[in-house]
Amino acid sequence: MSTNPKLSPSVSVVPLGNGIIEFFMTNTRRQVRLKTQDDAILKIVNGLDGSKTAEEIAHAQGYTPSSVKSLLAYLSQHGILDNAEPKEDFESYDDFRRVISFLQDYSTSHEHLIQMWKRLRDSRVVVVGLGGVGSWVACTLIQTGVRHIVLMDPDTVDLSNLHRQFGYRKIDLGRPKVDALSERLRLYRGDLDVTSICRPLDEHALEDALGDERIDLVVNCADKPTVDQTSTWVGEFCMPRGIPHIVGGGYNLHLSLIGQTVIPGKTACVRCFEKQLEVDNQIDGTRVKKLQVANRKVGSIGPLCALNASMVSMEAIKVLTGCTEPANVNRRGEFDITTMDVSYRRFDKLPDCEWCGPHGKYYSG
Amino acid sequence: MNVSDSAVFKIKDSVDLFLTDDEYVTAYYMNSRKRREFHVSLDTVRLLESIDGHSSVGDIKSLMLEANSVSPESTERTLESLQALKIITEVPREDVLSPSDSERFSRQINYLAEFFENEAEGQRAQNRIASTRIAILGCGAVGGNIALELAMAGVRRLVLFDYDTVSESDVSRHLFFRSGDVGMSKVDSLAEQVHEIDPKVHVETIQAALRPQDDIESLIESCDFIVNTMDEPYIGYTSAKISRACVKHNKPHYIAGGFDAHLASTGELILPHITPCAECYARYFKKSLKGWKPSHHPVEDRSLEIGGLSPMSLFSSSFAALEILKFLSGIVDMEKSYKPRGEWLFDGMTLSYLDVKRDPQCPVCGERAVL
Repeated sequence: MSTNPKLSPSVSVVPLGNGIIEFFMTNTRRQVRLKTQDDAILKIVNGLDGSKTAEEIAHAQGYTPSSVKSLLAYLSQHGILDNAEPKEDFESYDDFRRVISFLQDYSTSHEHLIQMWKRLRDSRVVVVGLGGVGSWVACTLIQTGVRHIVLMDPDTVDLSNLHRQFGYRKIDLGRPKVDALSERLRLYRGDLDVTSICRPLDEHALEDALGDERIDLVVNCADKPTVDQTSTWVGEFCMPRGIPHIVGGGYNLHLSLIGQTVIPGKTACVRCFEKQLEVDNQIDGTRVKKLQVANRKVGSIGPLCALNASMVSMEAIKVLTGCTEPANVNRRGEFDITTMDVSYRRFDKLPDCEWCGPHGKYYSG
Repeated sequence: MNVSDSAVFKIKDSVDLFLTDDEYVTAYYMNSRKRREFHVSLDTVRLLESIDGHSSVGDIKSLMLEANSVSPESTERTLESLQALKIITEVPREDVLSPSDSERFSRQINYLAEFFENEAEGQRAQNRIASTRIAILGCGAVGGNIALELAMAGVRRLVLFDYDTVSESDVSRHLFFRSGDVGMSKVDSLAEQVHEIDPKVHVETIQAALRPQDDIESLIESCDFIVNTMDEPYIGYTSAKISRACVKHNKPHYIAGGFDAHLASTGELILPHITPCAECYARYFKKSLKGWKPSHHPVEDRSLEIGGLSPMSLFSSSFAALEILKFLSGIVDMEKSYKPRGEWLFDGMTLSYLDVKRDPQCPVCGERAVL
């Protein structure tokens, strides 16, 4: 290590008695506990202010340098040591120091932290649908450090969007959403690589626009004609290319849905979910028809959309950095606005799935 | 129930209707995610199809009589049953709001109206939101987001209070960050953007810090609702001071954010003498964290280095905004359904709540409180 050891700013050191030290990671609420023989380790940890070398610490406490170094290695592996030092190793550290500090809770070394940050900075994300969820997702991902983004939406900004869709102004009314939002994104950072595609998602849209360009994640926030249909199209584009995708949730007609994260080949795919939902609904299309309601306008409320978007972005960050496994694989959730509780339902990766099963068309081994 | 011929009905926007074998209707209620099934005649199906949100009851009665030979009395009875089943709702005759506000907030009014008996209540709820004067104390990652989310939702009277200026590293947390605004006061940058979204929002800005000797009571008295997210010197200090004044003047308030809590905390709605107040929380933590004493952190200014993530701030701010809007609009009885502070975990995406209750011994809101 080229810099002096320093305690991570996110970590609180709590002596619990009987020689047990708890390291509480404020960012992620993770806890690591260490059983120690004497108070010296606590003293060492509480003195990790970056002013002394490992040798100096060892000398001061009467330990061998190698035993202090193995303690420091342990702390580094658990993200307890400030793995961000030296900071010059990170691109745009000053602007994004809080994001890097957040990721630090997951880091096992300085190099690992650099790698997570680099993965995020180099990733390219597609956001389909720039409405109540997609607009917030795009903004929060750029704020977290994503530099390459593809925006797809056919619509123009409407007055009735402004109560729940972020990044649009009154003077943007009538402008394509992709234009208005990419302009807003560039106000966060001038160095963005934004691709705007002003067209609706359909069977061919993603393939036509992106072909086999490198994409690291697709977030589906489009619900026209239906969420099931747009998710199928997104799945059909992503599965053969091995691209992770997130079903955004918070859709019209299902505002409280927390959608799933799909990692092709590893987790239940869009088709697996669909098949399990079909069993649930047991709707027999030959006997049942939907009554058409004239002039229907579905209700929506901004903060619920934004809450959903925040969850989508958190999952996206996990996929893009690899800091930890995404949580919403093989499940989807429901947010209850009255009780403010989240509940999840499990879905399985189906062995007979015609998409991802061993005989499926997108089976990848 | 009495259905007037001039009334106009519509199918509730949150209800999906399915017809099975032309004789069973399944109503699927999206908000509660419940379903109900009932037997219907073909005439009822035709009646449902003729309810379009524009035709009056009189028109529909004539149509049913002429096309299907259904008596007006029978049509009226069916309409009454459909209303009782919360499948149809009356469309308000006159808009409470201006045409442009009706359009701007149409989707939200619709959402709110689903919680009430009729559409007009949704408009009145929107009006209640608009007329509330709200102070946002602290306009950082969480407070700034809350200000934007409330302004978007139709709060038309905001007081923004913050001493700070926009800095380069706010890019990763403040939704309102614009690189061109670096150096500008946060309250001014925020006010400008609120106006860009909705010029009708009246915004007062106060660029100041909260110091121990400051009297904030007159500001609190002049507002209907107060949001505190100020974390300097620390959230516990500002919350104690602000909550105390709010309880004294019986002002509902919301505590959110705080430098080491903004990542995971939901914050909490405080209704004086109904929910626990900030002092009740402080007393709760004093007990529950007894023996849990972090050592002094060796790194100075760690609060400047601690992690931050835009989606985590957005979670906290959206949660707060939702609770505030539920309270202001009256769609949920918050006196019964308020939540104590909760914690959201990034790893597992789970939400759990603390078991905090009002403390009868609380010196601020308890039985023997002297204010």
